Amino acid sequence: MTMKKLLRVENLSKEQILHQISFDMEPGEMLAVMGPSGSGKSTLLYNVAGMDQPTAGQVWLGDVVITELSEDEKARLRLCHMGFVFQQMNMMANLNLLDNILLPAAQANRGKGRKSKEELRLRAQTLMEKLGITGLEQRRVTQVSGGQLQRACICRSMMNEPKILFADEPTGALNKSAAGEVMEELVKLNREGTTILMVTHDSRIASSCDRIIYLLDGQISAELKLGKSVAGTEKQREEKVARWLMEMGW
Amino acid sequence: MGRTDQGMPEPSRRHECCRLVCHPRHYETAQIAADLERDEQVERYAVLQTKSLAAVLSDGTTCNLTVEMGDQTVFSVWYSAGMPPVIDSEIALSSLNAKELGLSVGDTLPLRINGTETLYSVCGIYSDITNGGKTAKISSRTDSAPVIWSVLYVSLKDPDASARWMEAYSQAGADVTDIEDYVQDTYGQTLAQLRLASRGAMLIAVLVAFVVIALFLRLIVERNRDVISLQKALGFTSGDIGRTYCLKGFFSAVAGVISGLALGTLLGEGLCGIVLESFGADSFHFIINWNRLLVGIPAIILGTTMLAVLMGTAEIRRIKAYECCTGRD
Repeated sequence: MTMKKLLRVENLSKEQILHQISFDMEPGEMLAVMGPSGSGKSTLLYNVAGMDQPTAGQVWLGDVVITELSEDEKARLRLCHMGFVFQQMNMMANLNLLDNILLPAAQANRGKGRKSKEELRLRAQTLMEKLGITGLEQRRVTQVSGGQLQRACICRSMMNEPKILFADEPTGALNKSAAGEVMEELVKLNREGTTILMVTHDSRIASSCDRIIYLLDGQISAELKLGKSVAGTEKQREEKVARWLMEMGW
Repeated sequence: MGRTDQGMPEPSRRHECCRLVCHPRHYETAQIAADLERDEQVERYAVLQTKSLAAVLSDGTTCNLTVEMGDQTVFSVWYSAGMPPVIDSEIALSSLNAKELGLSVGDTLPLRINGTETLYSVCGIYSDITNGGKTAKISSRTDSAPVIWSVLYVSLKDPDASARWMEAYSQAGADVTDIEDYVQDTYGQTLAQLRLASRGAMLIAVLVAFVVIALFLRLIVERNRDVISLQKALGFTSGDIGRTYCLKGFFSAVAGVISGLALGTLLGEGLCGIVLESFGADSFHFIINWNRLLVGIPAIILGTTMLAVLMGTAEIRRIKAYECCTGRD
């Protein structure tokens, strides 16, 4: 059974923020991490993704023990096997949208025997088309809407075909309509096999996930299994999540 | 290192040349000249006597000129304009004197010789930093004014025999100095100061370059903190990011070195000349050490730049990948 897990987190602790967190994810799973502000959701994500070093515990991505890697090895792992979508839609202001999307791919494809620039450009354009932002390639990051920018961030995160996508409040800075569109794209990616670990405080967004873990004071206090969503059951899932959250004292 | 062509025999011959200063009590100038004339070891010589003559200015007033009299063509100095005086009615002026008197080649200057005013034509201008930089040269030795000092320049047929020859004349009562020692005694301090200034300038340039580049890069890294953090979050290593700064620093330094070399080579001599002209040396030339100029200095500047870039970008390693999401710790 252990072999099936894509991500394993065991007894992860980070100073006074996280305490003995353990959970795992199967390939293709979409997991939401919820909890009140200050509960350690984002810290958990940064430690699991190797952006920060936990004070105790271990994290595996497949057979790789992330917590035992050097900073450079972790960076390489993030570059080639992880994708990131942040709340603030961080992008390079001096690059256009296409170049921003190409950035991690260009870095990962340095050296011999890698994909050509044309191949990368084609992949970027295919992703942009898939996420409905074709035609914005040459636009600056300040010349597109928040929803479009977040979809470009998703394109960027998918450029290196990651094993897992980490999303930290991906809809937190968007209006309801844009948030719905972005979430739709994330669900689509998950349906196509991308494993997603998402931090959110939006119950509607979380209800699209297969499973939700609830973090309180740096510990997992509850878990809700929802299974893959089926068309037409969205309302029921939302209500189920809302009820569960109320039980948690949300 | 620079070179000045001062009131001395031309540098290319200085190893063959001796300078004799007479002490009239022991060995008269005329006697030395007669001895030199008979001496078979002597290739050529010149007797130069320095006197103070009154020059009559355009407003009728007079001023004293320190004038070196004798054949100025035997061991001619380098003239920035014109030629050495050949005939009796010609005078060469040091550049400071020419400047002060407002004279140039072709102008005339009356001198009071033996009580009467004689018109001299300015035939040449030379650099001189001895005697306050205010000297003049004429070829005639007709004035009866008292001699301030006499100097004889001598070149020998066999330069290797100079030590023995100098010893012989010294024992006869003349004060004999090898021209190389004379140059060292006269200009050694100036040359040492120039050397010190040039090394000091280099040291200051290196320190300034180091501090400015290191601080500037530290500032840029701080300004780009969010971008660097984002790059790290996306999977760039500190080395990847640092390399881009190093490359930018390197190419900027290369551009700076090339511009510096071009400007220094084209304008440096002129700018130094302007400063040194105020001391009486208007014919200042750079003797360029090409190895130092094209290899040594660029290597020092590039090395300094790279060191400063490494120090200035050291903060990159301390920037966390998650700072772009949470802000700085």
